[in-house]
Amino acid sequence: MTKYDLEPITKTFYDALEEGTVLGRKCTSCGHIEFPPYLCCNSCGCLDTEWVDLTNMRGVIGQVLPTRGAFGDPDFKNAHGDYFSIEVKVPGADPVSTSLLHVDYDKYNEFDQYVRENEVVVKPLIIQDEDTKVLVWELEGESEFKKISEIKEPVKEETAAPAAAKAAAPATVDLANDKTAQIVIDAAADAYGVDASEISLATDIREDLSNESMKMIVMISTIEDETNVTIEIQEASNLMTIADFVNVVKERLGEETISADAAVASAAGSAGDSAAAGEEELDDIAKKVIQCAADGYGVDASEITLATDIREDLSNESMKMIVMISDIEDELDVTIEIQEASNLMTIADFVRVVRERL
Amino acid sequence: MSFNDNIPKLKPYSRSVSIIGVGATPFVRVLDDPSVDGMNEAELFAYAARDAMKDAGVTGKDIEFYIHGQAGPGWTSNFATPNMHVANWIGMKGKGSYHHSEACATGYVALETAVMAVASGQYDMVLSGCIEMPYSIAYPTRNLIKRRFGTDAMFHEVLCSTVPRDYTLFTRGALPFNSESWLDHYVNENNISAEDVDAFMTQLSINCRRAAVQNPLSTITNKTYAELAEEAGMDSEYEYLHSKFNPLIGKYMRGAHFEQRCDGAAAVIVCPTEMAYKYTEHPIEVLGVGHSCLENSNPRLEMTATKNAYEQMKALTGLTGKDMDLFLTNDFYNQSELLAAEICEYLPEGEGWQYVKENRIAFDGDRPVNSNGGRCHYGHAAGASGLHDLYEAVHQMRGDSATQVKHEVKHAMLRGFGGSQNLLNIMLEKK
Repeated sequence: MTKYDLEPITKTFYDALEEGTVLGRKCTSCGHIEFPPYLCCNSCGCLDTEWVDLTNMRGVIGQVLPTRGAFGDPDFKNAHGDYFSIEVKVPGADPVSTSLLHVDYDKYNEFDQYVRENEVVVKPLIIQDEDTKVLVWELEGESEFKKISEIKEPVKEETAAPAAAKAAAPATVDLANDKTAQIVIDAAADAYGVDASEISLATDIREDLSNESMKMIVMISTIEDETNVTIEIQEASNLMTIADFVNVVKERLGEETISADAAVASAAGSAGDSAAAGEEELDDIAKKVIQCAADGYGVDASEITLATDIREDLSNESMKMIVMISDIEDELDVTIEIQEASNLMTIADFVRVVRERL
Repeated sequence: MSFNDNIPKLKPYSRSVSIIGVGATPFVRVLDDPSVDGMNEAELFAYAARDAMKDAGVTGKDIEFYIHGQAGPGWTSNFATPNMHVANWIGMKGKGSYHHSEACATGYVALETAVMAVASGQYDMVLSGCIEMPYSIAYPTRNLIKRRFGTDAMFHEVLCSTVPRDYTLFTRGALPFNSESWLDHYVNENNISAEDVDAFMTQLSINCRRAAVQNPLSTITNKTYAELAEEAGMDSEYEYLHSKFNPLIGKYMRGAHFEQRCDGAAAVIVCPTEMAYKYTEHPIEVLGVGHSCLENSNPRLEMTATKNAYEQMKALTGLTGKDMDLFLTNDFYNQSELLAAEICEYLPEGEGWQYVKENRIAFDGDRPVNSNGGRCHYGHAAGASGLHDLYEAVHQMRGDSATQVKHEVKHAMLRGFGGSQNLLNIMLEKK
């Protein structure tokens, strides 16, 4: 075998999705369809399969399950709307577990019953998921169970950052007059079996209370009951402090979140620093580091800025980085350990380290 | 033709292999318990291995080869070759070893691979141990006595890392389907009412917790649901299990139906059966290990692969689930207890849920399942859990378990599950 015998299967599949085409592989011996496409046949074991266009295929739902609670993907739901987890049976292929989009989630029970009693046909749906097009499914034709979810605008990073940062300045909240904060604190006290007086907005639920997942689940369940908002378990897994939980509830209730100007300013400040890094006028140190990078990576210095990521923008070859830092050490008479350099990303990071040493 | 038609027929081992020693640390939470503060992977492995050696009456000098299992050495410990880290601790410097990882199925594969090493004739005595610390994880580069919490957010990342990233993960359907699809299928196949589903799922929690509380190896569960209900001012465990302390987390599952992460280790020593009599009057022979793997894009993979592995063992031994006196199964989804027991014919088809409801699968019932309390109450230290089940099976067969079943256990069946997903079926026979 030579490299010319290698054909990227997965990439071909995703590249085809970009063009609106769904590909599978068909066994050259028994005709079994491998969907999604694999190299060999899982039915007869034949070693050879060939591409087949499945863009117009239809499947039948074998089973349908809800996706809220512990096992769904809240980020996916926020990006694409409500979805069910389904088994799809495509004639000639093995059944697969996948997702059904454009559904009326509130009608799960009726839909589940309908699926058991009827042959429900679905068709492929190509969606943009982060930086890739992926394949999910939607109901064929009109259906009372079909509903295009209203997708909320994704929260921008600059505004998302304060949610965590707000926890750093809890003193601004008057608990006696903040019903939401009080509900969250009481729920935490109940769930973790501690007195509410021991809990503040800065309390880290895992570090300060307990790392037992069940206790967190009890807490968010109580919060949900008391406030009539939904907090997904996976979402809660990424919240650290009581203030984080208070802010999530407040956001859902349309209340003003906990004010923490200093922390917000700090978060914005770090974003500003990065932006400024690209515009900063280069001093001698920065110029020397850039020249060392240019030499090490074999590019022209004019192609390099402070924001250049050495691995993403230049090369991931470790040897080139080692050449660069060796050059920097000679030019600027500082020491940068290779392991230390492995954690530095941009030219600005290297410039900062050199400045610190000088 | 289906891929299930391609499952191979097992052949008998080249020579019979038996268990002569088992060892286990308690399941603990190192970061929550000052008495074990600072304990780490190497120590826990060593304590379990030494326990197994003492149980067998052998030392590291007698053991020719060891096998190290950990579900995710990269996730929790930042180890690439963890087998290298334990030899010094167990008096086995210089001897051969290797490491394997099959996530939550690691502990069952640990037995399979040890038996193969002996059955092949290459070694006469092999130790196989598993360690996991998913609750109290190591820092990537700091001394192992410095530890931090393994959180749910990290665990979710780990869970996703067990799902293939060519296609499966990105369909988003696999994880919900993996958790409850078999139960949903079972409920509908058997026309079980919502009230009955609730009743048997509740009884599952009560049974398992009652066993775990009595098991000294489970330090994370100390009170029964009846005691918890009383503390909360409630009239019954039923009321407690339907209160805010046990919310619904899926279509059928409540919080108590999901695993409880903890830290621990376990080990087993095997040798040829004819040699085993030198160490014990009653070796536990490993009759075989069925093994079927299906990744998460396969609907109801747990059901399909459990059946595949069981059918392999049934054909190999001529024994069925009915011949077994005890059934132990990895139940990080609690309902797996009855579903797996039923498909392995340990419980009558379509009646498993009634056995649960009538308390017959409790450790003191007539068809005991998970007499140690299982993953949801005894605890789940990922890769180490399978060998904890083996430890329980061996002690039940010897008649000295903390939650001893009411009848003699001559045959026991283990059903391994994990690794997105390996399904194993192990049959043991007391000689």
